[in-house]
Amino acid sequence: MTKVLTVEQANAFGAELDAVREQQMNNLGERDAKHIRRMIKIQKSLALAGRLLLWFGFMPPMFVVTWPLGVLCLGIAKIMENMEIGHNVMHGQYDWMNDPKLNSQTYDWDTVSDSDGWRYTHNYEHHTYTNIIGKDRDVGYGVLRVSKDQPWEPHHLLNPVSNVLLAAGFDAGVGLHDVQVDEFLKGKVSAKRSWEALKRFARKATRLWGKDYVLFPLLSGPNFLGVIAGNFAANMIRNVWSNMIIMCGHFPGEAQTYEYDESVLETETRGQWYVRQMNGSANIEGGKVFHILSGHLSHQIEHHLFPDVPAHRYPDMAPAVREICEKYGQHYETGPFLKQYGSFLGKIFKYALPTRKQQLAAA
Amino acid sequence: MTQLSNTATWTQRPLVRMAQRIGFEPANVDYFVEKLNPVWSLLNLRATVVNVREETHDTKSFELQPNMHWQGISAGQHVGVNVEINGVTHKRRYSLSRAEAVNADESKTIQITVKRVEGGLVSNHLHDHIQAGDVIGLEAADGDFVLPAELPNSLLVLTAGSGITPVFSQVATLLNEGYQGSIEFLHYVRSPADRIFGEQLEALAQQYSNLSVQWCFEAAEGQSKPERFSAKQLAKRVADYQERNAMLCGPAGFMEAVREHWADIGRSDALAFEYFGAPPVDATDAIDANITLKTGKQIQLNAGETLLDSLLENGPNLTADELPKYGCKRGVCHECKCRKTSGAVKNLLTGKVTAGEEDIQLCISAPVSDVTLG
Repeated sequence: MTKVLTVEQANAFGAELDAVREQQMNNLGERDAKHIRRMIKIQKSLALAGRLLLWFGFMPPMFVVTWPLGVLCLGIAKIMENMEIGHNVMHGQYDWMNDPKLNSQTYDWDTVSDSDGWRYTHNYEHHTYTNIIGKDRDVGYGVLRVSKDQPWEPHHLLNPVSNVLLAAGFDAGVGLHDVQVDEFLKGKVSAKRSWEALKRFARKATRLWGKDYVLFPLLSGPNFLGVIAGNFAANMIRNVWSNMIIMCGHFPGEAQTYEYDESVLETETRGQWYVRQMNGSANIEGGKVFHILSGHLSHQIEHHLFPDVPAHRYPDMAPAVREICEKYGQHYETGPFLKQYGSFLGKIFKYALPTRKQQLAAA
Repeated sequence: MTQLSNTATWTQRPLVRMAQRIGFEPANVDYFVEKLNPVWSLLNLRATVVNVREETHDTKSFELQPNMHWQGISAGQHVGVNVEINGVTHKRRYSLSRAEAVNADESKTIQITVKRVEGGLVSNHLHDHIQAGDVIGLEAADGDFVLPAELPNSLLVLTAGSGITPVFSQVATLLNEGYQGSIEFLHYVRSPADRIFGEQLEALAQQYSNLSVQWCFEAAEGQSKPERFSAKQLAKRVADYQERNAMLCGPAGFMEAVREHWADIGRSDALAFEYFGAPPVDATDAIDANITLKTGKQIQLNAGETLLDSLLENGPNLTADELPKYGCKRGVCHECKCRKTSGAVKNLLTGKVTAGEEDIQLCISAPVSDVTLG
């Protein structure tokens, strides 16, 4: 169990983490620029290779090789763009480069989620109110029940089914996140706000689904069905993979959720914010390629502590962070992919049913 | 903040726009186009360095061949140059330094002249690392320090240091186009060896009898004391200077002195000028101020700093949202333009103090009260 820190202890904990951050920020430079450009090069090359394989691979004997290969290339390209490039650039990790192509405020990522809406719900809401139930809408994404602190509702009985549907349609799920249908139905957000968000989603979806399911199939001529199916499969690979990685970010093991208390939040110090970020996040262990394919969200703890430090530096920072956590008696939640995802899946089944205390209260 | 040049308007054509609505992305195509040849681009203005020449011991001229997005420049205007140093793109603006105005004709090259500034990041990078064959980012010509359509009868040109570059190209253009009025060209410079365009200017004076060039040296052989600008010194050099229309370009201190004198004699309206580098903050009205950012975070600004300097100094403590975009750091490119919701600042270029809600350029704004940025 993680130790509860006093304000003074939390502030000292925060000061040590600030020092870790500053050490990295002081030597941003060539190395980071090279990394992100190399990622972009690999991603664009894979995307081009994938599209070409799907376009031209319509000869029957080749089809069995080119189609799956094309799907794999395109799927990995989409994963890299969304996670290692898009997500991280939009956090402002590369703003210091002063490169308009890598500017957090203007970057538009390659998924149906509108970038402006994402910057608001993700960079602001999720990263500020991380794991606070009722405030961070990423807790269960308005669909799943992942913590005993979330009030049980009858639709949570379908938790395992909802989880599969959310994974398959994850791009649309993230895209519609900012429309806040659930909050609108509860009367918490205005119809106008939801409608505006829906319009932005529709414009972006027309563009991206138009590319995958109209423009490129038409350009490929006789092979248009193969291209449609290939693009669909690549999107599906991206959806399921990114969903699985992201579900491992805040829900496995001992990662904590918090009750919303405005007065506590108002007086929260930077040190206490660090403590909350730390205890609400979970890492996944893996090699270099795995970290890149997860957009370094496998270092979710470091990401939540330092969201605007270039993500490829998280593995270098992790040992120091872990040491500081041990010193202050803070649990550092980490484990291999299957263990972390298994832990999340266990909660999906467990919290499909009401928790005992609530059952009693209901009775 | 896209780098779309004016000639990349093809992306705005109806058919292309329609294609973009269903997923066509010019930037993705451009990525592979520039891999074929780094100066090629469907969207961005760039140039190949075709020649590098030493002008003096610390000054080099770079001849540039822009790509298809180039739209021309007038003498006296400047172009933006973007170079990447240690992962960071730096932008500076340099005046055109060759005689003719250059139109959008692709076969023509343009030339900039860069003096090595001690400790200057970009000038040293250009001097030490940029060679013929390299490709650099360009930004379109800009600047209103151009010749008036209706030319005055006689001209006085006052330049100091590298302030000679924009004026030299203007004078050369004037003479080439057949200007008949008298031009007195006074250049203030450290020593004969430091003269940029010394030979070219002398050659022009040989060719055109209406141009007279005079050098005012800090130090030179056979000269006992430095010759610096003063009303007396100028009257000695050019007796009728008060009747001439004047053009002025040089470092801040030199320009302040000249402008003050022109104000004294009531001829400010006959003086055209351009600063080279941001003028210094006037210490007499500079104060220690509190700056409140849009996120509510406060930073302390020391007297004598611009808002941009102070924000960048605090960089490690600021989030991506709070860090300003910026470019030239001298009030030219407007990249760092930002909303001020309250407080008063002095514009270091114009000397004007303004208060209330307005857009300001952070790099040339020094607070004269506490300031809130929105």
